[in-house]
Amino acid sequence: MKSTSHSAPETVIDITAVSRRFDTKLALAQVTLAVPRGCVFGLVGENGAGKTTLIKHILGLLKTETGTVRVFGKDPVADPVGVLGRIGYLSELRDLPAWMRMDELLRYSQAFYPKWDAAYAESLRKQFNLEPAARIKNLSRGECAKAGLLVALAHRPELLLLDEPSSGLDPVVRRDILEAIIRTVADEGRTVFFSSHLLDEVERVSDQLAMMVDGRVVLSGPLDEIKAGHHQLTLRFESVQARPPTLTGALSVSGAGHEWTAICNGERAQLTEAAGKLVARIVAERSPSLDEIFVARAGRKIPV
Amino acid sequence: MSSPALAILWEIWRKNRLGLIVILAAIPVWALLSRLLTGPLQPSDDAIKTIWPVLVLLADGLAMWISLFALGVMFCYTETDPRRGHARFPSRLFALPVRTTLLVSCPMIYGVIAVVAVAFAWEKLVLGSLPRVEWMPQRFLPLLFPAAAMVLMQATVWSLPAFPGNRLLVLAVLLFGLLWLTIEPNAHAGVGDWSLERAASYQNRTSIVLAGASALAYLAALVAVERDRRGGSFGWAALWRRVCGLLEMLPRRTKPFRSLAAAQLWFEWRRGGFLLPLYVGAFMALILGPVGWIVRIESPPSSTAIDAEPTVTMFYLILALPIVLAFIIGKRLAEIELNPPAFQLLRPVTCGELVVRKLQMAAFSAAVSWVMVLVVTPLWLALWCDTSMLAQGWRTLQTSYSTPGLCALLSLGFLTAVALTWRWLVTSLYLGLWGRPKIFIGSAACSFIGGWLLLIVLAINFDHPKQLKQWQELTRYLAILVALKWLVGVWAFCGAHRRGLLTARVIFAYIAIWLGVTLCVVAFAWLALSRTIIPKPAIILGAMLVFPLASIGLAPLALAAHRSR
Repeated sequence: MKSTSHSAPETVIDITAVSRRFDTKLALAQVTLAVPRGCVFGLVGENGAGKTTLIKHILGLLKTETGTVRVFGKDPVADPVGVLGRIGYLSELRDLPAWMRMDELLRYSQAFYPKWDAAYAESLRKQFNLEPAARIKNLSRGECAKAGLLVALAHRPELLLLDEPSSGLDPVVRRDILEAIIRTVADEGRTVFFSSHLLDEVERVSDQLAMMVDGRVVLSGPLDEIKAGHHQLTLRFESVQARPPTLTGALSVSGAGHEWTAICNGERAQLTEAAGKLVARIVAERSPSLDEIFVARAGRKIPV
Repeated sequence: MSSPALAILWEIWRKNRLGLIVILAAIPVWALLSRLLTGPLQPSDDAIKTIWPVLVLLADGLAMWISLFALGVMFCYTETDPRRGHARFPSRLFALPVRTTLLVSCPMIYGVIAVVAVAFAWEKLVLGSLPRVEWMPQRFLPLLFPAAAMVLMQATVWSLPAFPGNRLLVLAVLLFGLLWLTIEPNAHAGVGDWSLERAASYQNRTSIVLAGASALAYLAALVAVERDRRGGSFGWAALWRRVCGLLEMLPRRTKPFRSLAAAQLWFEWRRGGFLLPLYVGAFMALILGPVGWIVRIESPPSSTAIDAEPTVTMFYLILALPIVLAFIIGKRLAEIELNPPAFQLLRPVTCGELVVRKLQMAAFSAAVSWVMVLVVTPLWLALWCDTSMLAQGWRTLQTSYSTPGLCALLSLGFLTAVALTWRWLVTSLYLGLWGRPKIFIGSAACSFIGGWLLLIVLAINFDHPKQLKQWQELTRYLAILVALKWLVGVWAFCGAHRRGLLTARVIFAYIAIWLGVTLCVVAFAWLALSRTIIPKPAIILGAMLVFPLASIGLAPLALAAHRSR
């Protein structure tokens, strides 16, 4: 049940040509993204692709070296109070204060958010099965993730920012609770921006998607359009091909001998024409999964 | 690597090679420097010439203790548990096919060898070459002391991983206790009723105690690491569970916080604000309990109270406790800020608001500590002490000051002490908030060494007429420091206001507090020191440096820089 249309396509996060370097490593390279209000935006990429760095820029924890970041039209570095008060954030590190008890964490967090919904927080606490007297340091990794998610959600933020939210959560919680929460937030007209490397999860809940490889956004747009723009074609050649054929629009090619499989980006008609030029026949075609598109974009062969 | 023992040795070397090289290189450099300072570079002024060897000896001794302590830290062989955040014996080693005895023994043996070798080198190359100072403690450093200190340090760190705060306290008590045991016979040998035979006998007994304590510490470390390896707790888990059970029964806050400020203040108190009162309480209990009991042993059997002389010493010690501990704990609080969790940085509050709560927490912490001292000390004096010497001191004060003057001196003195305690708690805060570990460590080391040297210099003949010229020279430096403090303070507060980190109301409130407290400190310094040879401008300028201004203005700017790198 994805929300596909929104009456106000106002931009919540606007990132323009942001670059960031850590010593010699280029963490972000001219990243440009726009996240419209009310959508679920998935950010995917390998470890070290720059997802967390980008999220830190959105939160104002890192200054841009070049380019601009605007959240709700404000600079998060110049106006952290105006921005952070409207964001619910779940950190990848789950760095909640270890010495606090669960109920203390909720009371402490409540003081910072005027829109804190105590009844909602209590219902989430029960749903997540978190003991009020439990100390954070004694919680498991999954329970810590739930506690962090609870704090991020309870003030009903306009923007929910989740950095690897599935990390540490068991599959049941991930599918039944996390995804349900993400959809509920989006259905209420609020925005969800989350990073993940679990592509099936992103595929299930996202409306829009950005794919990062080595600090660059290699793909960005509505999920449906991205999927419609990619094709997996199986080509049969008359003669044995010693090398992978060079097909226009192909992101990756694998196979041997007469038969080769290519994941391509482009119009169907153009791909057929390109195959014809190589004196090859398209013998099979299907829509690739997001996983396959990601691996092709990241420049890797699909493992058998 | 041909054996696990060698692999552990290599690991310790690889992790600490820079520090070890610095420690080893420091010994010949220091030896050369000492020879130069006591030889060609010795000052010609007669007044300084008499105390010069003492100053050199103290500087050498300080350098030696710092290097031995650094060595101890390096050989503690711990790793930070990423989940719990405190240092413990590296649990990754538990998966290796190696016996726990070897895992524990190797770092201990290496540590003992290293510390004994370095202490021996200091003794032979640096301290041994200095001229003998008749009235100073003998320089003999029994090598058993550093060896025992190393074993006790490692055993404490490995055995109490879940209690980092208490671990520090235990370590401090153990190391100071060991130091006292070692220095005591050397300090008294041949003086008064401490014959050389008695000192030697004392030293023999101390050696037996040190050897026994080291053996017990080794066994304790072995048991603790073995239990840790087996997934068990640390021996007192059942007791700890009961204590926790009792703590659970205490009433806890169940209502929401009235305001954001109240919530943040509570957070800061729980995060580190309680440390100063806790440590002041613990050290007071130690001084008034075991130390008082030991002191009573030396009193005549007929005596029912602590003798007058130790009473005075203990009284001053207790009064100095909050200030001295605030200096150390202030560094610790600033160190915590070096790596603040994103959880804290992402609260929707300004950096100025966060800093103001930290300052308020420090003020509350200092006030609680002094209330404890003020409540306990009179009771202790009245019930268990011979206060004749204190009464004599009081009478001397009464002859020097009128009754209103004395009242003013005492109340201003108390305020100055509280202000100093607060100052030490917050003055390094901006360095921690800045989040640059190297600058923070460098500054902490400089202030520690500089502080000691300043105290030594001030303590030696500060009221001697021959020092007048130096005091006049010092006045000029003090004036520069005060001007610098104001300039940086104005720049920092203006910058923080321009960036919206501090409101004008907060800035004016702090400047009003600064003026009020500084006025009190100046008045106290005037009353206490105006009859000495210290020039009046130096008194006023020195007092104006006590209460922080620039460092407070810099704190929100530093946090803002750290928040968005």
